[in-house]
Amino acid sequence: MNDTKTGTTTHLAAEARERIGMGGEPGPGESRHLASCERCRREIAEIGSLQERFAALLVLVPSTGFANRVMARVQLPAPRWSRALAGLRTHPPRVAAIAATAVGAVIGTFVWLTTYPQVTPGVVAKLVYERTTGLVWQGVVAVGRVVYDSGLATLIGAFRADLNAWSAVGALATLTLVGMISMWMLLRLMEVSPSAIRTGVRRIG
Amino acid sequence: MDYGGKTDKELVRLSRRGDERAARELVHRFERPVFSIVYRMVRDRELAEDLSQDVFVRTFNNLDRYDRSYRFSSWLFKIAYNLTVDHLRKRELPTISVHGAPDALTPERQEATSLSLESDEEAPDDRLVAKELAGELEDAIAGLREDYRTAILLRHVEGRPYEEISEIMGIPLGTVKTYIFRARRELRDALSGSHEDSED
Repeated sequence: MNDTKTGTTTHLAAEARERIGMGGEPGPGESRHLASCERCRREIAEIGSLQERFAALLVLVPSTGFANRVMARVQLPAPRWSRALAGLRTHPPRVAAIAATAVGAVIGTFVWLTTYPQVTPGVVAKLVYERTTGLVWQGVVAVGRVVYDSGLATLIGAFRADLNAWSAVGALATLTLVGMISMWMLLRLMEVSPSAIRTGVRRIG
Repeated sequence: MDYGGKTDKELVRLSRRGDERAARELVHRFERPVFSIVYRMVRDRELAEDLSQDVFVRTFNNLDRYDRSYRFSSWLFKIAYNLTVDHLRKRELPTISVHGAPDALTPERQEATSLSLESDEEAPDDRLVAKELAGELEDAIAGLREDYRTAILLRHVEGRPYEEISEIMGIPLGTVKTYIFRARRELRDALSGSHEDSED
């Protein structure tokens, strides 16, 4: 039981009084307390009486046509099918392509089912899988052969053998220098001064 | 497709895809609670209708921002609360009677600003008594601070749990409890005061 203590007397908690006052059943402990506590009984009766009066407040209704007036002002997003139709109306070639695909699919399915009934979707899927994996494997082998024939593998191997810390730093410095010179030449070609980009200040008046 | 059987989140998903019937179902599902709470905040039928419309329009036009980990109703009520409070703060509306705004001098204006109460089941005499009692409570609610009013309406009229009210109003849970406790006390005092007045 939820209690609150006032002076030396323990009373039901406000939540419990409200729950009972608004029609809830008191628990066994609460019933025992209520049997002997005039103050809690009075407060519960007051809440109950107030709740009854609130229940007697009659329903307030907006005037007829309220929903129509609301809906006239609401801007809901257009439904998906409507958006799709609108898209098709504005793109006739797309409509023609979709229609042609649909007609082709229907005719193709019909011919397939009547001419080759033994070729099931499972058989087709297996065939596609085998052909695809075969093609991928052949592609990998072809790339490897090109790399070997061009001597690229030998070249990379030679570079790796000569590579040390100083050569790496030198290469990096050379690349940086080439990059800076390229940038400077590019800016000259565009007739923009690097200092103008950096400051960008113009005197007025 | 049966939209009535779908959850709020399913309807939101369909609305995001541009399904107008799903959006319309959400409006039907929440027009009364949203209108009720906005109406009880601003106490003017025309204004409440305009604000409620704005709530739904803003909600649907921002559906892509809705975080699906929260309840749709919480998000909707949060928008309603923010929009209404913004409006009240701009205009500093006076609290008014259930029978119409104080500046309603013509019968048409009184009709426009008075509360519309719907009940088909009660006999005319019972309806009169219920309207009188409801009117007392409506007046007492109108006398509350706007944040107390929102909290107590969400709790007692919409039956929202404290955690959700905290999310909607963007305030800590403890503050919600305090608001509701104080709102109840003020309502009790106001209603007992009105009874004493009527008995005198």
